[in-house]
Amino acid sequence: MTKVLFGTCLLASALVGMACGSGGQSAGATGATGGASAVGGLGGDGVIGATGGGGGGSTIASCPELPVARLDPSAATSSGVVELDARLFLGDRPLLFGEEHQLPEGGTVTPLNVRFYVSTVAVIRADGTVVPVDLLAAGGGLAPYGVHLFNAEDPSTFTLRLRALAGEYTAFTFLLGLDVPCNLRSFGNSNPPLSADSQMTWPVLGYLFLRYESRLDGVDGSAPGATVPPTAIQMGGIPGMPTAPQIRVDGPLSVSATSSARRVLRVQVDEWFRAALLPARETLPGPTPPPPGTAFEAGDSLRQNVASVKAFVLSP
Amino acid sequence: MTPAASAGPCLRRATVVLLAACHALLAACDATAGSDRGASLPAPLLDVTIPVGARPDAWAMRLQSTENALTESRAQLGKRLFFDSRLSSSGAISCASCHLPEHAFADPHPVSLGVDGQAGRRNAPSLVNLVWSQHFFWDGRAGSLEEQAGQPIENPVEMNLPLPEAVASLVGDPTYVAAFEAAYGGPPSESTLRKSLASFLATLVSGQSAYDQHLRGDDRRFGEDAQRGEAVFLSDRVGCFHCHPVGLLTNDGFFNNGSFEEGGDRGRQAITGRPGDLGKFKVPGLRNIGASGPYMHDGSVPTLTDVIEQYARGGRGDPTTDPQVRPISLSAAEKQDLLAFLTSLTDETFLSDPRYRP
Repeated sequence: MTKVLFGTCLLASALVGMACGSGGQSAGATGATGGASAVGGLGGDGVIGATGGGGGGSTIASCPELPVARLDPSAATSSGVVELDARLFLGDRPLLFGEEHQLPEGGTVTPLNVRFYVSTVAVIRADGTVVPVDLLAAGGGLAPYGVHLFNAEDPSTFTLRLRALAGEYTAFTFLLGLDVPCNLRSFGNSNPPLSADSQMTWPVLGYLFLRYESRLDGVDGSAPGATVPPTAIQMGGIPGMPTAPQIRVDGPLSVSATSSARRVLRVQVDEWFRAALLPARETLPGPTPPPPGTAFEAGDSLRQNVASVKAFVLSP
Repeated sequence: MTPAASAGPCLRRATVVLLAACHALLAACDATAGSDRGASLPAPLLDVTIPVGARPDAWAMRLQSTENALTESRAQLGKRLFFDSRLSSSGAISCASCHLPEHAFADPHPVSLGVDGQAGRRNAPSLVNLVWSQHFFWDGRAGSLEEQAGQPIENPVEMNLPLPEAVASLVGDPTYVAAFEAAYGGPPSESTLRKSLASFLATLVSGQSAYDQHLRGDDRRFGEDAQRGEAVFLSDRVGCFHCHPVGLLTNDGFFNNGSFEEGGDRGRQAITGRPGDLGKFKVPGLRNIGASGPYMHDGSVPTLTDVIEQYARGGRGDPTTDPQVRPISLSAAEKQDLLAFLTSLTDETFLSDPRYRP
């Protein structure tokens, strides 16, 4: 099977996924094959899948631009805001967009494009109780679609604003990517951060969840045991299936109803590299695996392994 | 004397009076219409067809903007200014001198010639569908159409006219004073000069290409070769979609697509100072790309066939080239199909639209 069919197989897998139901993240796919036309085409209204179509949660109706608050409005006086400043790191050193950085094994890396989605955030109490969180936009309202797009080129996107019930927590979780309903949206019929200028588009259906591109200079992978970081990682999922990895970040987190808190969330890009170079534990649904040596292969390995590495660390 | 016979002199006097009145009226019309003797009212510029895949509310936001709400009078004023060569120090260069409507408002020359024949260093980009952009100029140094509009007027190698002088020229023309009053409620100013030009630029919307019709479900003008070309365009192997996704065919970002060569135009880096931005230029939309050659930021690639060949080679080999731009094995048939797809992006209705003529 040749590389060129990978995208076509994603389409086939998406249709299978939508027809068979999504399980985990929602009440199940509604079999919305909708207006998705030939590869690259949009449906009559530019939307993948019909809206409505049953009581399940896996239609784009479940991903409105103005999302439903996950916190009960009556809890407004007992909730607070935590701001997480996401900062890219390479080991212990900050990784800055467009700048050259020394690699531990020699050579340099220059990040040229680093973006990822965060959604479905929750905080966890010491007893294991999972408490949903609202993602907020910069202005304080709910983040459009309940989604945040981190873009290393735009400092205004570095801060994740979370509104949670006041209390003490020992961890938080999030999807590194989009949930099933949002990944069914069409970027042609969506506003930021799910529009085409997000640069998270795929040619077929759904979105990229994480996009990393870089330039390597002077990197010599010939030495025994040497590893060469991937120059590009493009991680997406299968529309209709819950394929966005869930990340758990351990660490004490206090939420106060009377004042907002601010913490640094270290994004360990070196751990992305490690996860992307680990073997994939399973192949994507469909007859064709991601073409070897490509950004998609790295992305699929990352998707399957990122939850098992320390890719996100809450600074003390 | 019969009634008809007695009415003769009266009728003659009334006719003379009526003809004199008509003459005066026509003279007044001539005075206000300039050279447009007997011209009908211009067609509305705000009557546009949104391209498929464009964000649904960007046009509406333009109409409702609190900064510069798009109205017909503002767009028409901007159109008049766009074609007016008084906005140059020589009185010979207008915006339309380098942004020709029949070329999708681009320039068929690699670089444009400004006042006194001075050559610029970049290809004049097409001005199509800019209402959906957030970055303007090849290096993105302007963040709005309004911010962009005044810069070519003042650029010494383009129109070479400081905006205060441009405004003074407009203030001295009663017809412009009246037009600005009607559009913006005041006399010409630097701000309203930029705003009116931006308003006209916003109306340059192209959404009736064969590709658009294809996306609407009508393939009568989208042949099998274009369909095959579309599949190649969207394939992972070729990867054009990474920068030119379905819809507007631009992600409005900045990438080094392999056109940069050492010592050449630094592009985005000149604005941001970041080493990684060396050789990055704005990704243009591809609608009407067949009419807007030559190509790339410096107009150095003459034809679309040459563009395909350059990408097939993986760019020009500079190490700053984006890693996504790499040598691609394309058969002759695939190249032809790609060309057919790119040609399907031409909107003949837009290119020949009489509303975009002076």
